[in-house]
Order: sequence, then C-alpha cells, then structure tokens
Amino acid sequence: MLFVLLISLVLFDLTLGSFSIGFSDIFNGIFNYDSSSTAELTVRVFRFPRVITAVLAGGALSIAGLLMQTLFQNPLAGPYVLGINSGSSLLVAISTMSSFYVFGSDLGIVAAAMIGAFGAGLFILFCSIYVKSKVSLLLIGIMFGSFAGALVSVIQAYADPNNLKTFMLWSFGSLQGVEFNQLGILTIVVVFGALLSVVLVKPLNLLLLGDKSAALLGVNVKTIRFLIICATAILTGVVTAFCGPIAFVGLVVPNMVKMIYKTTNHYHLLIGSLLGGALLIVICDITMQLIAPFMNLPLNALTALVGAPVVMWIIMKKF
Amino acid sequence: MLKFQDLHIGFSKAKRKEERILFTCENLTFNPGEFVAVIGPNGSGKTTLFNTILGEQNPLAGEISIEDKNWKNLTRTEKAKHLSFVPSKFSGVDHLSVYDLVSMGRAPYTNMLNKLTEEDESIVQKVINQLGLSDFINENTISLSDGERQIAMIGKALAQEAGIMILDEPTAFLDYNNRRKVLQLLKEIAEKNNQIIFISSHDLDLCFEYCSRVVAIDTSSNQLLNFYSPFKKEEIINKVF
Repeated sequence: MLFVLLISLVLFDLTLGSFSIGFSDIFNGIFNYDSSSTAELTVRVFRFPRVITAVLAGGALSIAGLLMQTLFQNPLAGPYVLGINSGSSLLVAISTMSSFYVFGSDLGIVAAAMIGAFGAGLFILFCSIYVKSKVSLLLIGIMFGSFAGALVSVIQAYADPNNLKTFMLWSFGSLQGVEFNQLGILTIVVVFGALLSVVLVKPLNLLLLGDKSAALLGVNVKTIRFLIICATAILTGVVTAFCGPIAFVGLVVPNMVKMIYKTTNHYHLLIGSLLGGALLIVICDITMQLIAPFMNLPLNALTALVGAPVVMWIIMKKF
Repeated sequence: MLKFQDLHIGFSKAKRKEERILFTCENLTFNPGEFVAVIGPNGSGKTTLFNTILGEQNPLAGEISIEDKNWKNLTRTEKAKHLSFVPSKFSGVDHLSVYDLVSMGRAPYTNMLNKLTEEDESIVQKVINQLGLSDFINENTISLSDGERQIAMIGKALAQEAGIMILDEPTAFLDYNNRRKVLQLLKEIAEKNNQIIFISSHDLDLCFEYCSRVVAIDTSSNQLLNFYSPFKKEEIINKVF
C-alpha cells in the first residue's frame, strides 16, 4: 500500500516544478532521452535527480533513525538529535571551507561526511557506556551538536565568501544539489547501507530485550553495536554529503511506522521506515513545489515544521 | 548435567579494586529435573554465581562444565542452546507481542532474518499451551501484569529448549499468589521437561516448599553448602544467616 502510494506520488512530483510536464515527456526523459526537447531535458537534469534523491534521502535517514532508536532503546534517538549529522557537517565544513582540500571531489565530500558521522556515532556510543540515563544521552548528543556547530561557525568566520555561500546553501538542506551522474554513487551507497541493516535484523530484534538478554541469545553485542554505528554513519553520511543536514526525518518516521505497524520485527520496520521516509520527503518536496516552485524553500524548514510538533507529542506521551 | 569443579567465585582484579573471592565450592553436580534454589544474604554472591554460570564473568579458579563440555570453549550460540536466562525485572517493550517474545527464544536456531520454520512455530505453540498463555498471544508486553509478563518471559526461556534455565529472583516483583503460581509452574517444568532450573530468592519458605534442592552461600565460612529436600529449615537458616 505504502509502496503504491509512493510510486504515484513520485510520478506526481516529477510533473511539478517551475512548469508542469506531461507523463509521456517524463517517461521519455528517463528512458528515451532526447536532448533537444526542453521538457525531456528538464526531467533528466533537474526533476528526476531531485525526486530520486528525495526517495533515497528519506529512506536512508529513516533507517538510520530506526537503528539509533533500537541501539539506544530510546524513541527520541535519531541521527540529527544525537549529533551524527553535526559530525558530518563539521567535516564537510572543514573540507569545503578550510585551506586543506583533503576531500576535494564529490567522493571526497561523501567520504568526509561519512567519517564525520562515524566519529560522532562512536563518540555517542562511548558516552552511552558511561551515561545510563536516556535523557542525559540525548542531552550529550545535543551538546555535541552545538559544539560541532560552534566549530563550524569558527571555520565560517575565516572562510572565503564563495566557499561560505556554497556551504550555507548546502546546510539549508536541498534536494537540488545532486546531478544525474551522481545519482549512481548515492544509490549504491544507500543500497549498501540498507542491506547492511537488513543483515542486522535479528540482533536488532533481540537487542530490544536489553544487552544482557540479547547476549545470552547468542548476539555478540559489541560487534553488533559497532556494525549498527557503521550502517548509520554510511546512511547518514552519504545523505548529508549530497543534501545537507536534514533534520527530524530520522526521528519522526520510525516512530510513525512503529505506531502503524504495531510490531517490533525489524524486518517489517526497516521496510516501513524506508518507504515512509521516502514518502515523507517526497511529500515535502511536492509541498515545496506547489507553494513556491521558483523559490526553493529550504527543506529543513519544512521537515522541522512537520517534525517538531511530532517530537513534542512523543515526549509528552513517553517521558 | 552441570558440573562445578573447585570453583572460586568472585570479582577479578579490576581498576583500583583488588581481587575478591566471595565463596568457593568443591565438586558439585546438578542433574536434569532438579529445581534448585540459591539462597544467601544480600551481597553474598548469588548474582555473581549466576553471572559466572552465564559466562558474563569468569570464575577466579576452577571449571564449569555442561554435558562434559568445558564452558569456556563454547560459542555464544552454542551456549544459548544449553542455557536460558530470565531477568528479575522485564518491563516490556512497546508493540512486542507475547507471541513474538516467546519466538525470540528460537533465535539461536533461526537463520539471519529470524524466520521461524514450521518446527520453530510448533515449539513456540507448545510452550504457549504449556504455560497457558494462549489468551495473551497478541497482547502487548507493556500492558501485561507483572505476573503475566514474568510467565511470558519464562516462555521465551522455554522456547530456547536449553537444558538449564536460570531465573534471577523470579518472585521479587510478584504478589503472594503469583509467587506460588510461578514456583509451581517452574517445579512442573523441571519435572516434565527434565530441565535443571536455578532460581535465586529471598523467599525461604517458598523455596523450601517447592524446590528439590537448595544451595546456600555461607558467608561465615565462604562456602557453598548443599541441601536436599526434605529440608531442615532451622538448621539451614542458622547456618547461613
């Protein structure tokens, strides 16, 4: 059901933009490309990458959120809240704005974002060993996020104006930044991260009983934790690299999916989060295109508008 | 069959802490079908003994062997097939149904995606019938009463089909009726399934009534003492407490 809805919304989204395009042109633009037709060109260069990015980004962030929530047994965990996005931002900021161009190319940015996400993930994991309280861990995540944000500001203060502009646009969160030939990297990495999560389904299910019970059912808890952090870093890192830090999706979608599916089986939850996340971002994109097709509203504004109230509601219900 | 050989139980040397032996025990053998209560004052090492059997920590000296296999050499999954554990407090997980909880006990036997085979499902069904849980299978574990949840957790351990089941203070959070119910159930399971069941408890009277064997940690001589049913209550209590 979700899948059908997603496909139809994706098609609908493809028709939207600064001017509307018919379905036949969309089909031609993707499968039977003719560069002399403006409509097909637009589909190929702008819309198709935008919509596919929306699907992949939403799915990837939601899976990452689900993994974090299970790992920390906390419904409010998510890549953004725990500062994993901020880790990515920091390294991307360093690589785009500082004088060391360590990670110059596209792949370099992806690598930088992943390393940042992974570092932040390890830091939070390390803290989780010492901090038992769920709320304290979230606070540490938020503090880590602020700290990384402050470092980014310092870097911005010294940055070259052109680089600064690039970075600021990136940090608003956007689906427009991905070009057709970059879709390949994004797809491969997201699929890899998603497959890694599917492999972890069984330990994820057992971790719900607590670390000790999981270990006594045959789970190697330390290795699994490490792998979960890896999967989260891969998924969050690649999306952050291409689309900027997108807030709230990873937190809201898994909670919604759990409420709809009423199960703890991560096999279903993973698929649900993938589809639900994709759906949410595609809907956000459709909304943006309908409200202001020429303006390019920042994606983060929209996800926060949807996300923040949901988060408040979860807090009131569960804490 | 579970064997202890010259076991020294305690904490190994850690940061700023010296090695501390809580108690020792000579050769003890536990046979299938025995329902064993481990008793002793607070801090005497009941939980440490369980953690050692469970492999969470190592014995300071001596050996634990199950079915004549040295415990240290088994992999995690093999251990999970020999030994199941029920924690004293499980507060439930939202959206986790009783059926799914019991099925989790099959995890050491299932494939990577945790798909239950027909055999697994029939075992889960059997456990549910044995414990009288069939009315609850779709209940959310968070909305069960403490007693029901404890029994569902025992169901998870039973589905594991391990020869040894360890329950850490299974009666601590239950009311009087549920305590009796759970202990009666465990007694029946031990006899019927021919399993070794260990519980730790401070409910001495109930332990003496239901268990077939009592292992007491004597804090004055730091030894593990062994008693069989019928128990001489006064004697045991005077020795241990």
